[in-house]
Amino acid sequence: MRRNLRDSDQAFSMKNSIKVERARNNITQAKLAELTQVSRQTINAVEQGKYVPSTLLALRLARIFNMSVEEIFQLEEGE
Amino acid sequence: MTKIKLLPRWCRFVGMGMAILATILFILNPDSSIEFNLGDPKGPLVTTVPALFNQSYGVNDFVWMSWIKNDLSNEFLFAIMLIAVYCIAFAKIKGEDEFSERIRLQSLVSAILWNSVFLLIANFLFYEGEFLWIMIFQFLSFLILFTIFFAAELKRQRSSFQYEE
Repeated sequence: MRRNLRDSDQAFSMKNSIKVERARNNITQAKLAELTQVSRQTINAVEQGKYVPSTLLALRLARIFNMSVEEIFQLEEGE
Repeated sequence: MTKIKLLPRWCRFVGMGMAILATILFILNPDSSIEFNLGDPKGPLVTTVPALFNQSYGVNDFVWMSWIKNDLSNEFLFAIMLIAVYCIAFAKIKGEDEFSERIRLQSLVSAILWNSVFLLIANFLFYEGEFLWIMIFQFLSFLILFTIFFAAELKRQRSSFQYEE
């Protein structure tokens, strides 16, 4: 219990492999934005790690790349 | 998914037009922007209106629910300005989505914070009748601050946009 509490205090950030998957699938930011029904700016912000997407958008991205959400988005331990 | 209820995009342009109109009306007749019920009201839109509460200082005491004579030009000016600022602040932008919704939320929090700071400072710098001006300005300043913060953050995000090769 104590350990769990300490773990939850730790700050986490998130990294993603959207850029890599885009390149692998030969999809542009504009095309991905169109497929996920968001703006290109949003895709760009997610790629750069400036914006953590909603669960809905994360699921949509995973479906497009035919992967699980956790394969695209990974937790990263903060300082 | 629950989305923030926003006005259609064209409302922004309507709001801008209304803001220009209100500014012109204010410049043409600055005295109509505020009035205190001292004597007979003068102005282009003097009419008898229902008042929930009325107290004309030096004329009559506190009166509930009565009919009074009033120049409505300042009320219309304020209504036009309020609707205009609301339309500008809460109209959809091009490509409105969850990212812009988050920017909206952040801007709203910042606007409330800075508006409160401004009110707190004004509370100790403006007294009695002068404070009434601050209270009137407060109705609009929060929306104006929100619009400025939102536009600035959008511009900042667009400038950091990384174009693909």
